[in-house]
Amino acid sequence: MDHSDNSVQDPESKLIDLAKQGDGKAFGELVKQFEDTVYSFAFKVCRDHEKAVETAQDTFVNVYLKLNQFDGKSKFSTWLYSIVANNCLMKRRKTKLEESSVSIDESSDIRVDDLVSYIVPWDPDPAETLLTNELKNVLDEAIKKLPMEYRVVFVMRDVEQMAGEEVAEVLGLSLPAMKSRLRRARLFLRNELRPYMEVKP
Amino acid sequence: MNEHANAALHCVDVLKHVCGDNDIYNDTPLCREIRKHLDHCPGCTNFLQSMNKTIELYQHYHPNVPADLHAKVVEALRHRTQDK
Ligand SMILES: [Zn+2]
Repeated sequence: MDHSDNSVQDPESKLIDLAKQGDGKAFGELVKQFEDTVYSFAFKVCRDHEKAVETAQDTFVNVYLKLNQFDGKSKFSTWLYSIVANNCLMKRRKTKLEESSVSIDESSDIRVDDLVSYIVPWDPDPAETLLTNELKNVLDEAIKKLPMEYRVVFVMRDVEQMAGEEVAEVLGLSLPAMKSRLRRARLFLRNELRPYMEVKP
Repeated sequence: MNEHANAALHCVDVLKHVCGDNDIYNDTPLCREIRKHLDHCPGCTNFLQSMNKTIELYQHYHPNVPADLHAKVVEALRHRTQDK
């Protein structure tokens, strides 16, 4: 192992190195440190508690089996996100979840005809105060209609606030392709929330 | 009429740029034009507010992590990595 560029190793890298050498306690510590993050991210993508638990289980099994492939060039959390995202995309294929989602194509983009609907302002109250259980339901249902490829981009870039380049790399997309998916996902979700958020005259 | 059509088309370009994760604070002619447009177009301004609100709502929605998550992850690891 070469640590020449980093004489004092940070605790996370140390744990990862120990876990790679087969230290079960260190691996258990990694699980404890990252399980909430993995679960939350999985939930934000699949919007279902049971599926999110399953995804967290699959993710840590994968991490255990593939930890030696983690080369430390990216952040460990980024590597984890890429495993979770792939698990979500794979699960989608297995269960044909996609059948319930809408088709997002050229026509789902910003159109001149829709501009008139953009004039009405939205409730200016802060997000924290608006998040009732009813609105949480609306948020869940709206994002569930989006095809998985779009959901993952939206959650990584806008919700988790990862860098655009990082999202594109993790998902194996070009930057323009990532941006185009993000634009359509944002627009779709915004239009789904519109009936609940517009200020009534 | 024509003028309206032109203005409307311009809004579409502005919104596509802004919603596609593109910076508007660069010092390029396009960004300057977009900023100028946003200063004078209530439609685009309201749209941007609604887009940002959409993102904000999803950012503030934190799921509750189930209490038995750790036990379930450990159980999966025990069963599925035993002979590895
Ligand atoms: Zn405009």
